[in-house]
Amino acid sequence: MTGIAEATRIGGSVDAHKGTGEDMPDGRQDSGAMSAMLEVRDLVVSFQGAKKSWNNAVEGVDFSVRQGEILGIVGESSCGKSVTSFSIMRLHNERSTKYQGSITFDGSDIFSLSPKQLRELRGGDIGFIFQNPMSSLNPLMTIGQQLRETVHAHQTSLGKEEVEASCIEALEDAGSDDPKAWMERYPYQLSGGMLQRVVIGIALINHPKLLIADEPTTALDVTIQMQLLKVLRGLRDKRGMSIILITHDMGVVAQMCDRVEVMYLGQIVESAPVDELFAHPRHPYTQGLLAATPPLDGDRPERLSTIPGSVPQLSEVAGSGCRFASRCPFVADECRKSVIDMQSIAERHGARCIRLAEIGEFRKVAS
Amino acid sequence: MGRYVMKRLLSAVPVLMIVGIIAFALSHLSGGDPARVVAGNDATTEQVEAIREQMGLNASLPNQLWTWFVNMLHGDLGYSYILNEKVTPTILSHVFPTLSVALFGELIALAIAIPLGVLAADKHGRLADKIVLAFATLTTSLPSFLAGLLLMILFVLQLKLLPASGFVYPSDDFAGYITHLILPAVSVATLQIALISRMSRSSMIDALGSDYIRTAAAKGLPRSKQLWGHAFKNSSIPILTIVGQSFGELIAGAIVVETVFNVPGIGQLVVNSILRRDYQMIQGIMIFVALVFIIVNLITDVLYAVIDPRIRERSF
Repeated sequence: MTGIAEATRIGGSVDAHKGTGEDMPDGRQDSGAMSAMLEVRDLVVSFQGAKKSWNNAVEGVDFSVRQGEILGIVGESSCGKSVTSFSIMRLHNERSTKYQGSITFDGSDIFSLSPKQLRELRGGDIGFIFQNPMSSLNPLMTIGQQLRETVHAHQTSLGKEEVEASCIEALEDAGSDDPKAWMERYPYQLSGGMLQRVVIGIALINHPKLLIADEPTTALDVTIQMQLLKVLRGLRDKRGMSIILITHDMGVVAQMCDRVEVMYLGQIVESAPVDELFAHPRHPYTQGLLAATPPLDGDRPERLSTIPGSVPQLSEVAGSGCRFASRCPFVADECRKSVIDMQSIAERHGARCIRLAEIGEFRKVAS
Repeated sequence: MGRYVMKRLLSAVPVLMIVGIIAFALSHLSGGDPARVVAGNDATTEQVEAIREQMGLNASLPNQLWTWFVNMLHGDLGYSYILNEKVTPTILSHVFPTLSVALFGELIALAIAIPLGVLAADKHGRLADKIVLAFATLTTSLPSFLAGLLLMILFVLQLKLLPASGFVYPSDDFAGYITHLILPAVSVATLQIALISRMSRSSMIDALGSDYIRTAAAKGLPRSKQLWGHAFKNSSIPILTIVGQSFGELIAGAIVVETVFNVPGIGQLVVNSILRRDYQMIQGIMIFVALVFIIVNLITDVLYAVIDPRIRERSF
């Protein structure tokens, strides 16, 4: 991938967003500076709607992933998690999508890659695991064919046996107990859990540096979910891969991740190391999410609390201050007045809320 | 596989039986005395009686039907008293030209329509897509006899490149066989192009929107592989369906083009038999056309199974 590294122009795109960069909390700047593998800076993704209008799906998303780190992105449905992750590989239809900001992977600017460089990156240095294994494999091709073509697309010099060996290795690493037999099968002959292992195998067959897993276990039952999460963790430990894990399950985050980005309506509302986030959630939305999750140990509450209402349309709230205002129990007039920036709380911990102090007071009194 | 084909062929027997009954009823429902029709107006009563005996019309109706049906299963479709020939060999001698035109036309149509459909789907909503759609609409609304005549004016009268009409057997002159085929094949292909390119466009659009194409993109496969390796295979079943359907119609409905280009095929035989009121021949052709549809359907079903492992498992 040296070709990509040479072709970068990181300076240009980062400079363009210096203005927002200064507003960033110090902790976050630090995390980026430590030679992050992936850096997303002020990402705005907008899709073309009716009558040539552009609707933002993701606004001002910043995060970075270091080598060997598992980053969790959590939030309710339609809050921009998948849009963000697809953008890292530019998987959106480019004719109806506009990207702003920058995504830098391993020193190269994703948005300035040529189609060929982009192809090398996809399935090469970045592997992607999709949500629904039943539909993400071609029903008319054997598992073996679908694995082999992924190798051929990236490593043309390999001989037949070497390709075969790397397919089997990938399936084994993804937790297959009988990779040779699986290779002969068609997708309809395997179960959902097996298929997701195949999808994982395809993602890691070319030894990627970063694995993006978009709700990899949502479509599967709980026992399979556990096994697959173990597989992913094992990959990080064995291969030193970075993983971005997108999920709406706080339990999965607690088990898997090193850092967490909480997303709400296209924005990151809180960003923290996982222990810090669970111990001291600061944003009301994060607090709500955690209160809605059954505790891992200790007594279970009679009823779990819920966040009132549902996620509104982005077009209904854009530009009117805090996006969570309509559902926030601590909302005040000032919240609706102007755009809320990320507030630094501690090192590498930030939240997009201007009433952090008041909320802290309130919770102390309440407890 | 062999067992599946046998099973399908056997299941065709009831279909043939029904078509056979309808064909049989034709000569009896057409009014008048079949023997009288065959014998002609000037025949004496004795002559008519002799023909009646020869045609087996004196037997009871169920007996006649039974004999007709058993003969049919043995490949004997009767005797044309007007041509004084057996029906089966006459039909077979007309099959080759029709089949040549149909196959050649279908190949031309596939070679043009499928790339057009795939291109349109890939450029969905853009200029290339709109041009393909406009082209498909144009060819749909162009009747094949008109297409044939226009082609004749251009290639025969203006450019003087191709022969105007007729048919040459490949055993006599292979180059002549091909040159005589081009114009009729292209004119039957026009409608096929419209059908197939629309179908491949819409089924490719469906396939391109599916999750496995997104996976293919995320694997780093080039667009050509995504299109032909993944999407096309999945969209080929609806394409195959429409090709199978229309191919049968090409054979059954070859009349127009065969008349325009004077090709001695089934179409001409149909027209002439109707004009001659040759009921035996018409009966035979009905059975033959039914058989063509059955065989084309069988081939289509076998191809489905070749393409799709799920169908393969269910059928074989």
